Amino acid sequence: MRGVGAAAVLLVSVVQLPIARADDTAACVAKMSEYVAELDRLLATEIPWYGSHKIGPYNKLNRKHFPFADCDGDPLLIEASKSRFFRRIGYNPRAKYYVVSFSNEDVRISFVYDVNERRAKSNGAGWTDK
Amino acid sequence: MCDRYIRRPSSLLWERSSLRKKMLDVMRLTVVAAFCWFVIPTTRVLADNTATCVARMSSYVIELDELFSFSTWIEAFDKLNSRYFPFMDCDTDPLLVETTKSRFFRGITYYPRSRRYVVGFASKVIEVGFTYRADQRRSENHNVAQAGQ
Repeated sequence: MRGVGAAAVLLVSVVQLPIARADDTAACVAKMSEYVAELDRLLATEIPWYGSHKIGPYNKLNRKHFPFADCDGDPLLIEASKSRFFRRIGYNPRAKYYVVSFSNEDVRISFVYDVNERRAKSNGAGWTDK
Repeated sequence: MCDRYIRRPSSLLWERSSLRKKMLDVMRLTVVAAFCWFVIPTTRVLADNTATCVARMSSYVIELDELFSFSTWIEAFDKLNSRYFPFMDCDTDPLLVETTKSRFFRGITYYPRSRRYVVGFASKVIEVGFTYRADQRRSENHNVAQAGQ
């Protein structure tokens, strides 16, 4: 009986760790890399005139790629920071989310990574205040 | 004559129970080892100075806000910083939450490669900032400058 208990404790200790770490980070990083490449192309080539319809391709791109689920934060954020147009990662410790922003001086585009949900979602695109 | 070489049932029983005892000992040892491996490192990681850090940061933010409201003298801010920094062995989020309570809090920028959080405070005249390294659980590079420099 004692042996069974001991084995159960051992099993719980050993099995718990891999479960906690099971995630989709590798796929997330690959997807983020793809997103960054497309975003860089768009931000480099699309010099939009100020008009609501011109922001469309950026929102379309975000809709195509987001959300990202079950990702570790740091690898995803590191991948995002490789963009030519990467500007900043802001952090809100109360809400536990990171805001990643990109800009080509005309357009700013961003996404939010929620630490609790382990999920990144689009934060939309807009014109800069210049 | 041969009686000496024939094992008695009681002797067999004794050997079996001894073997069982040994197996239980091994199992117990395994459980203790597993406990040490999984539980002790966790408690060591969690052992920290966070409550003290938060109290100190709260006190720092109050003094900083007071200073911002009547002083534009950089040395006064340097003096305040040298009294409070560095912050060590703190959990990152509680510490950072405390900084956001300042009237002059401007934002936190994160650098994922080095796992650094840069916290900024500013008035129209003075900017104050510090870096907290999540990987080393300590602050570094506190600084004071004229705004816009």
